[in-house]
Amino acid sequence: MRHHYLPHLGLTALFILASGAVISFRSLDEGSSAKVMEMYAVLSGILLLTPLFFPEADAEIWELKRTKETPMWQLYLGRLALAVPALAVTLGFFLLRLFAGNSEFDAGILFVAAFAEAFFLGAIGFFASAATNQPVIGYMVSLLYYIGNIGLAEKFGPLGLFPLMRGNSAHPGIFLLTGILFAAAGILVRERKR
Amino acid sequence: MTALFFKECRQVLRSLVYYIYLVVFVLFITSQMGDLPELGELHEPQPGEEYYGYGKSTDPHDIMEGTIESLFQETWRNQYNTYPFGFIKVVTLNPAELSRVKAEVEQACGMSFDALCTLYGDYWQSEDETTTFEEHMGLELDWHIPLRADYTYEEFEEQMRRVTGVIGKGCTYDGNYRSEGVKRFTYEDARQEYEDICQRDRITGAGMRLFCDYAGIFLAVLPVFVGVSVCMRDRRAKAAEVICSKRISGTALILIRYAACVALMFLPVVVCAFLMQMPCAYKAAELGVSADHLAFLTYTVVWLLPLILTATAVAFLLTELTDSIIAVLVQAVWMYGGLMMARTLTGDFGFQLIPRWNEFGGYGRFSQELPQLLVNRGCYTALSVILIIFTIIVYDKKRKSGVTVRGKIRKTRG
Repeated sequence: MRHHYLPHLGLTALFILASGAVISFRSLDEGSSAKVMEMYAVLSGILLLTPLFFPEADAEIWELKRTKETPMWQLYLGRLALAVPALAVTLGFFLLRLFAGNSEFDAGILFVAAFAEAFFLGAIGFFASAATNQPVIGYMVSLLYYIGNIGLAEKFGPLGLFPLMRGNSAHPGIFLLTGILFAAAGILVRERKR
Repeated sequence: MTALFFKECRQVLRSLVYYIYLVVFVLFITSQMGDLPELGELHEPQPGEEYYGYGKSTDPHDIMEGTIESLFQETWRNQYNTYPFGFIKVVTLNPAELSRVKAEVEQACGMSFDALCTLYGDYWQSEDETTTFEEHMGLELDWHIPLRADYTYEEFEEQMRRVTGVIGKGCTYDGNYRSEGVKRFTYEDARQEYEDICQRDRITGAGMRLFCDYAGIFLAVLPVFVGVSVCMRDRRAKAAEVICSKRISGTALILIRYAACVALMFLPVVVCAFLMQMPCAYKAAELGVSADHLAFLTYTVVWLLPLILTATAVAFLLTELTDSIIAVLVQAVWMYGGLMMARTLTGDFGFQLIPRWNEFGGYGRFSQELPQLLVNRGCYTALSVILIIFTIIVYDKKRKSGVTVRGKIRKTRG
């Protein structure tokens, strides 16, 4: 993880640092605060969750890991256990910046909604890269899902992104549950497939 | 060489990423271009019609009116679009700053901000029958803020400097208001626009500009996935060393692989453009206009091919250099930034990665900006060539003396 995951954590740090140049955190109303979290901060889910299978995309590493005593699913769960708190901390940074900028928002609702959407987006990439054994497809699918939701979110039903920004009520349960299913399916697929 | 080209094409055709590219591109473009209401509504304007549409104006009064209207509406929402680093950034002011901007609007109009809000509210209340987006946009353009009779352009420019001081650099009022002037078309304007579409654009040109506008958004990022996948293929198949031992030169290998990749990604774009051009060609025949049947090829080659060349070259260079898929993230950020940097959806090409022309027609303005577009596309084509030359250098260096380990070229043998 030190070799493979550290660059992704670095990219996420860069993503947080660059946010000030692209978005304003100052005196935002609830809708604009939701936009910051749902349109920008959620991308950290793709950065943190999609690359978790990278090392084993190399068949030799996969074979080597298979010979170890620790089952593969435990290894992947361990990685998720690192990535999920990292995601929560990243989103926490964004909320802190909104708070420092005197913006209006309900911290609980916004955090849970953004976390669920970010986890869901990341889990899509996690599953796609597991199923195809190609990390590039993981990024492709999750990014295209995000881009497809810009302007067409209603067509995705309850899994349409940006609900708070669109003035709807958040439904984090659906995103979280679907995200967990994608993550579990991803681990299962990688456990069995070379 | 030809055999290798077709072999590389077959390899790309075996890639799942390529089919995702194909499906996503076709779905996106058909959803955006499947129905062109502007084409159906295209007709020869007749004298005495009630409405001929709107267009840009360079008249100082129209510029002042359009800019103060924009300032009023942004102040009303307390959300200002700014581009401090080229990217769009929405700024919200605190109460003290907001009062200062309101005072500037009041000075320009000679009435209180609240009175202006009442005027604006009353206008929309009397037009509450609005249903469609087009009608809404028409009404939005029909409303004009009442400026003071003695309001001069010098006073206006001075005010805009003060407003920029409050909102921040890169806002609309930071010298970027010259495109804010809008005027209602007269019969003569509408007639000129119609003749431009029929005689100079020959209808298909107008349709193809819109096609390129939509297609460009996805083509700024999709090719990078295919490019990365192609470059990672040898590594994944553990065939990199075997290929290195072959007689073919690095230059030939990279160029053929790049050409195969670009050709296969460009082919569906050309086919889609041809299909999307057909309704325009039928409309031209219906109106007795001689359509430009090669517009689909001209526009895609000039407008979209450089995008594919650039995104694929970025993929090739960064993947060869780092043996990672970092190119995906770099290109996604570039594409996102490119979209965010656009201050207008029609023209202002500058050095934008994604040239925008989200309008059916407007040939008069397009022809003025065409040289800018050609320079822009030429620069991106040149950039692609440079990136590919660097890719060849990196590949040859790796081939002769080593491999990359976490982005650094390390020597592995003699």
